[in-house]
Amino acid sequence: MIYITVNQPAGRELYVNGVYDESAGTTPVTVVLPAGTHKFETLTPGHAVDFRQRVTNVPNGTKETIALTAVSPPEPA
Amino acid sequence: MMRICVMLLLTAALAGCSYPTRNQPMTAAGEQHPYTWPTMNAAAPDDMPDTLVVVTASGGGTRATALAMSVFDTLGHAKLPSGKSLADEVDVVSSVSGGSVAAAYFALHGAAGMPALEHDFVRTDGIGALLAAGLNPIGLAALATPSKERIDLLIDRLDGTLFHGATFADLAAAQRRPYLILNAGDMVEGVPFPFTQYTLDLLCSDLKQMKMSTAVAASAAFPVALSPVTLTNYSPCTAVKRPGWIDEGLATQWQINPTRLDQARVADAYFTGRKKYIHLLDGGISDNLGVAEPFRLLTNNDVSPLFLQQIGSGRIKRIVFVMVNARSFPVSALDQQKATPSELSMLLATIDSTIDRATLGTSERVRKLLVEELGLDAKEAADLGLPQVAANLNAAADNTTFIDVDFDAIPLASCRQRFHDIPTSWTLSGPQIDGIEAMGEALLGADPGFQPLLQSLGGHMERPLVSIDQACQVYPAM
Repeated sequence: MIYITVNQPAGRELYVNGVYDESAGTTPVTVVLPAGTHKFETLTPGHAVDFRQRVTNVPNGTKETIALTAVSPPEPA
Repeated sequence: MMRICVMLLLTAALAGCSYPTRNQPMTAAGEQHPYTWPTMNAAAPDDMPDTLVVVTASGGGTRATALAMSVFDTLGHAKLPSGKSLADEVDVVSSVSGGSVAAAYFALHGAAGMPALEHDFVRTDGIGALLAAGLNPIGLAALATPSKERIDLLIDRLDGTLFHGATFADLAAAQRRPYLILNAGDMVEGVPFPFTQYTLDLLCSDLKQMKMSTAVAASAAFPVALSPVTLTNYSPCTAVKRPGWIDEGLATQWQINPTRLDQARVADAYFTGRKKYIHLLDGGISDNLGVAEPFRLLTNNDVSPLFLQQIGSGRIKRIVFVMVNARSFPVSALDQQKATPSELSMLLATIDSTIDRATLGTSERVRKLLVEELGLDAKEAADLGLPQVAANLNAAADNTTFIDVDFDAIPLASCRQRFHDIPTSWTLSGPQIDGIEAMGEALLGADPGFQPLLQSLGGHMERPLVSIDQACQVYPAM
């Protein structure tokens, strides 16, 4: 497994890999994932993506801490 | 004679020249209140939110239906302090073929529905009914046209005896647990095809409009004997947004995670519309235990439910995994003859042995995941300096109960072989069904994990459970 801690922006519901019907938790949060490439996003109340970050080809047994980057203007989810 | 000829001609004329359409495109209305884990979970209160209860039910015709039915019934008699039963707390049911008949009926009607399932389906002559429906002049004429296929015999029977036109919309409206996953197999890709909205999204299709009988029949479409259930791929479309995980999966190097990349490639082929039709056969061709989708939900976070993250975050603290395996392993006369087996024998052996032996590997994979790998992941997290994640994973690992309902667990060889000899058929004898019902209850109760689980939940059985020895006597040697 890989362990990705998303620490910024704090206090936001985090969505992984476009699964918008279920939050992965409130940031800062550590997400347990299989090895590989993954996308992390937060949504505005209007259901638009306002922060995003991606990790690419992370191998098993890796821990990373990331901050999401603002998406301006927010994009429809 | 004249009347029969007229009816034959009329049937042929009315049947038209088009193959049946089994699934409908997604619409804006269809996107409201889909049948998904989050909507089910929100609508159906969970009295044990920190406990994940999964039941999987294998294929095996009526043998599998009866075994799964027995397990659901027994779980229905396991009472909890809340007044509910353990059956009420099942979160996910994932099934194949004969197991899907019981799983779908359980999802619609709960454990209280098991007597009706037994009366209306399990104890009936299914083969006789299918033959009667097909081998009459009208039936034969209809089957000669593209609009009626052999699988329609099973669909019609399931609809007529059990589901009466029920769709996944009825399941969504029932607002009850469990979340149902019926599994067929993609005949071309050779991969499991779980009937979930997440899968149907790839075809831009609305699961709610799918008849339960069609999905169950797809799950049970035994190769050659029955025809596949063919779904129309309406992708690409504007009604469904491309699922985000596909691109992340495609961007994963093969060496890093070949499974995820492979899943993404198949999903991409569906969603881009490269595959215009999906031909579905018995789920046993790729996963006869129904564990592939629960395994996927427990090992990645690409679709809801995000069980892996719920375990990692500590939201799920206990896992109960009940695997119902009705695998048969009859003694074969082929082993005793030097003569070259016939073409039919070779065909049946190819299908049966592939399905039956495949269950052994997947059973071990799930057991290993739940019993060993969660603990290893916990150690890994601890070594990486993530004590809370490690503690959460350890909690789940230490509180996992894996329950096997499997004829292989019968200690007495002669009794075990009698149950393994029960054929894969839609018609079983009364004694065979009596035996399976008793043995399902006995195997569940005798599993080393069951009684401790019940005790830890503060629960009790409403009635004493039969023992394995007693169940052997219910279906004695002839």
